[in-house]
Amino acid sequence: MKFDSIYESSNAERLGNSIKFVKGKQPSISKGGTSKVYLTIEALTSGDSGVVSSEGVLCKENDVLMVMDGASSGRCFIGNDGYVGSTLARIDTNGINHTILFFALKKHEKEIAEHTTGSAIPHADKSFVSELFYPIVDTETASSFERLISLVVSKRKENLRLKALKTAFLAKFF
Amino acid sequence: MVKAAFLIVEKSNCGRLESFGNLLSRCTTGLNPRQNFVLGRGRNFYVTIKNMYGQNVILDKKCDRIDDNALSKISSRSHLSKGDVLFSGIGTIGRTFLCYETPVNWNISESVFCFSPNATISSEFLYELASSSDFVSFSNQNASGAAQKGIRMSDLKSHKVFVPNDRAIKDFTRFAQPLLLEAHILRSENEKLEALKTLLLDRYFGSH
Repeated sequence: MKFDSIYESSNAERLGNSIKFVKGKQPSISKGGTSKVYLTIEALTSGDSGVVSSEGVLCKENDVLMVMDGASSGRCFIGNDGYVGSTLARIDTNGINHTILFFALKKHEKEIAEHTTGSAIPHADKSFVSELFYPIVDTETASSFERLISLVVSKRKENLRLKALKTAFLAKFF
Repeated sequence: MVKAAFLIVEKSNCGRLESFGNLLSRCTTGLNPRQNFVLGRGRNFYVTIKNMYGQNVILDKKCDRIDDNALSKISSRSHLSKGDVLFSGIGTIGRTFLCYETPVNWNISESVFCFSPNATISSEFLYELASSSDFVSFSNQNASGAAQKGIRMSDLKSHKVFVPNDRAIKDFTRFAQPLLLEAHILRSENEKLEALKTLLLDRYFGSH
């Protein structure tokens, strides 16, 4: 493992057992469930999801998601609220700040994409990801990363709200 | 030890202490009206601290207007352009904004500082540095003035900040750039959607 500059500047530890992959599920609609956006790669990249689900693996805004299957394996996302799509996994952590985990995974995104398993369809290699390092940073550093993420998340939320309003209003006129 | 906003731990030996001014290629401010121009005319926006919030510059009805002549005068003083970082230096100190585009219809007042990064750092790093609690605290603690407190530019320039090594700055920039760009694109789209919302609301309620 290349131990590069970002980790030289602070302490670093292997992700190892500090992370756990929770794979998403197919969408399903059930009575009494709370409908939420079904988070597919398309929904995460374009912001539009035509699918909702009332059951599944829940993803909150500070959860990190990773694409586990297909050509985009290894790609990571944060700041999304909904149910985790079946080709994605939520990465639970044991004490690692979510934004720092996101930073570490983003930094190695290309490497993760190059170290996949499977012959026909590539899959992200969980053991390879576990071998990666994440930086131990002070609270000020962590809050700096959090500020960056929350800036984007707040804009995304506002965008969704305004788009919903636009759709509702346009429906009244046309 | 003065810390920068990220990747910094005490006893770190992977960076250097540097005067803030040494990281800048230019440090300017906007212009106040006085004898220079009159507010309330024209279609351009005059941005003061009250128009900077939520790491945004909000160009709305609350923002004062200036004409093209005034805009030109302010632009020739501030040289505000793409990649510059705005920092509110008087009154409410420490509000920041990263310019992802060179502004065409707005510019800043004298109470807003405009920092341009030099080749040793990126705009994203400069933005994080200026937004960090250390930098903002320093500015607030060293502000002076009777009516409205403000930080002197010379004090900011001589303030020592921690600058991590080049590779760490590159790593951070690579991480922050897409996030800040996405925020910028969403901000632009949200402004258009807000305008559309206002229009549709007016039509909806006006028709009843």
